Amino acid sequence: MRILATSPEAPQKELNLSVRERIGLIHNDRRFLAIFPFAVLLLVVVVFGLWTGGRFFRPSVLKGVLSQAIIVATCATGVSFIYANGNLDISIGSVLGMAATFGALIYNATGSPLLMILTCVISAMALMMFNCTMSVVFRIKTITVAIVMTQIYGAITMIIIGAAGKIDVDYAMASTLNATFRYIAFFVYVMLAFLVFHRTAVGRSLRFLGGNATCAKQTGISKERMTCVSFLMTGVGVGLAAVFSLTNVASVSVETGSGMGMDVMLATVLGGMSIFGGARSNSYAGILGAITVVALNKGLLMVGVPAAIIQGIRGVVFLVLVWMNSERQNLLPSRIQF
Amino acid sequence: MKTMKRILSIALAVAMLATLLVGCGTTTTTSTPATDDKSTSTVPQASTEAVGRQKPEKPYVIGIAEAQANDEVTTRRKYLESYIAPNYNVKFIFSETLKDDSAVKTFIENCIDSGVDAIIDFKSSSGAMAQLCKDNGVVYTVNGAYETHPELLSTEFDNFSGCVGANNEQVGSLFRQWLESNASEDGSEGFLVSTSLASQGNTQHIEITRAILEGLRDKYGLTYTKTIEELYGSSETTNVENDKGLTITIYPGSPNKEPWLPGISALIQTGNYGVFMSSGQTYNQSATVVNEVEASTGKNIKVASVGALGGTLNTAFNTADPFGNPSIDLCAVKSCSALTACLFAITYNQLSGYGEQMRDSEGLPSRFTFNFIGIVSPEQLATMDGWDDRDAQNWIVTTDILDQMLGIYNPEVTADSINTIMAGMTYENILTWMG
Repeated sequence: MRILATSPEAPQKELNLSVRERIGLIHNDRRFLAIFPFAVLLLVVVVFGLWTGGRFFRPSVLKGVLSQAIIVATCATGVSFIYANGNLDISIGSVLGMAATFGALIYNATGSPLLMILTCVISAMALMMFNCTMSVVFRIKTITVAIVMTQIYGAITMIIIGAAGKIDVDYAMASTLNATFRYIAFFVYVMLAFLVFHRTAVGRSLRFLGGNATCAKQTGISKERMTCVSFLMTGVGVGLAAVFSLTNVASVSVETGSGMGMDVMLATVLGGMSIFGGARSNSYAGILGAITVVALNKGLLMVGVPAAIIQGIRGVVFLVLVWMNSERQNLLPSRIQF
Repeated sequence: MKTMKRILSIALAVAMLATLLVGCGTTTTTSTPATDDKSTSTVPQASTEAVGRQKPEKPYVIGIAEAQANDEVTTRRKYLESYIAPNYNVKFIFSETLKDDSAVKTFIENCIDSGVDAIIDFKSSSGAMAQLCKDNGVVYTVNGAYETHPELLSTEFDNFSGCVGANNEQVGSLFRQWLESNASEDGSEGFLVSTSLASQGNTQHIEITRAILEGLRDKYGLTYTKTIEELYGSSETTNVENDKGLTITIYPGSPNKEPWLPGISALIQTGNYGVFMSSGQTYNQSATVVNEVEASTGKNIKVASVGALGGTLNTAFNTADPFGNPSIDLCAVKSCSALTACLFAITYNQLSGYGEQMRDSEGLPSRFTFNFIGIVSPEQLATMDGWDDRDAQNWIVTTDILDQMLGIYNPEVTADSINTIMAGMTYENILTWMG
């Protein structure tokens, strides 16, 4: 197998590369890393569309895919700010549950959907800021704070919700918000996150910090300030996700948000972004990943694959996608992942 | 060396894949039916279809939303796939373990896209799910009770076929009677009560915890300083204060979650408790620590718990503690096939045009109940050997009984008649049927 070298240092010559080396070249190509998650999503949709005789292409099914992915996608968009500068936080599930609990209590006390939304968003921002403060002030790693706070927030939520195990809100209100508000809010938040992440100095600073914190510091970027900004942006996303979660099933329970931290990590990695941050971080990887997971689940069920086999297939597909999406350490300026 | 490593890594990868797919041997499609009668069936087989019986022509697809992954769920799945499916021309779609309402909703939406006719929900039982099903013309049935979701009764969910739950009074009385004859006269031994998910609203756990606390109150003439509702609603370890100064401690939490065992072990190891009662299935987790404490303190700890028929229970009853007693002294078990058959029957009746007959006199959805069976000795357990055995496909509820609960075979069926059949499933009656 022959290939022409295109490096400016090397004269035009033929290289003898093995299949593995050729795959490596493609795999490590920047354009491949950028396109691959989109290609996988498209492939999943097309394959299941054809496999189900076009049923998967129905607007109701495609809308269902977006609807099911929206909570994880919103959280993942928010958490991409934390990941970008090299931090980790898995407490977002318990923050979501607690914010939704506060939102439900306020709604049941006032009957105001607006107050419910504001409560969810503000409380999520406050809880995320508390996590951030613990890290910044006491110099504790964000992941350590997150592990501890997950337990604490979960316990508080359980006490607030109490013996009923669940707090219900008005189903009609939830349905109305679910049909309109969440799509608009999701779109607005995603656009805002994209602009901040990719078109402002804040986004660039976060990615710089994730790529090389020492260099970033030497250029005058404050890691502490940027960490606070990233947690606040995440708080907005988690707060909105709390609203979506609350209106999705017209209730909040002690289990709301459980496992969300891991779901978001998975979605982010499947979407082609490293959870260790860096220059190639983006705000939309989690959205792509979340939609891919949902489309895969729904498609497999629609073609009649049993749940146990779906789990097996999903595991294999995830392993392959994570490997294909993984950055390689010889690509600068990313950090070594493993 | 490098080649060896490569071969080893490939072998490990293949082994991992095989492990991932090891539980995937069954499918949701109906199996090729075999012909054998349940009462004489002792050999494992792919499926069991009743002989000389005309099965319904119209096929239905039913989604099963599961909340757990345990022995009971595996048995239920086998019963539905290998017995119900071929005999009633039904296909089932099973969920993964669903962690919350959002996951249930996602599963139901996916099932609707896959063309299901009905959903049997073991997880959420809420009006939101009933509405989602109604909007899409899907029948909705729940396992549990609708006390916490009165909207299922008060609104016009004409697609809601009802709910099937434990006969809580009956299971409560099992614990109460056992306490009467097993607890000491002065109550000096100390009582530890695992309330499981009562504090999170689990109806069955609430009723059993209530029965235990009421049983203790009645036996010793106690007055608690808190109400029983406050006690079972407590989400932290609580000493139940009472006027006689008896040691009664309640310990909440799911036995399936990590913190439960260390917490309960620490309490048992204090040696302050002679009776350990649980509203959930806990004897398998707690057996080791109970044995250790019995051996070290010389105190015989009596154990009463909810459980399920199967190997774990056999082991518990046939493993002697340091005093020569079984590891468990009372186990309240339910018949998996009875619960499942009742859920299937009311769902199928709704699908096949007999939904009105499943309603009560006011036209509201009915509550259907099943009994628990109290097992107090290995000898009694031995008489139940093979009941609801998924490998032998030896089911307590067969087509003979199930047909009586279905409108297509018994057009006179009503909610009351189904509840009468379910109430008749006592230990003595089942012993007669099963031989």
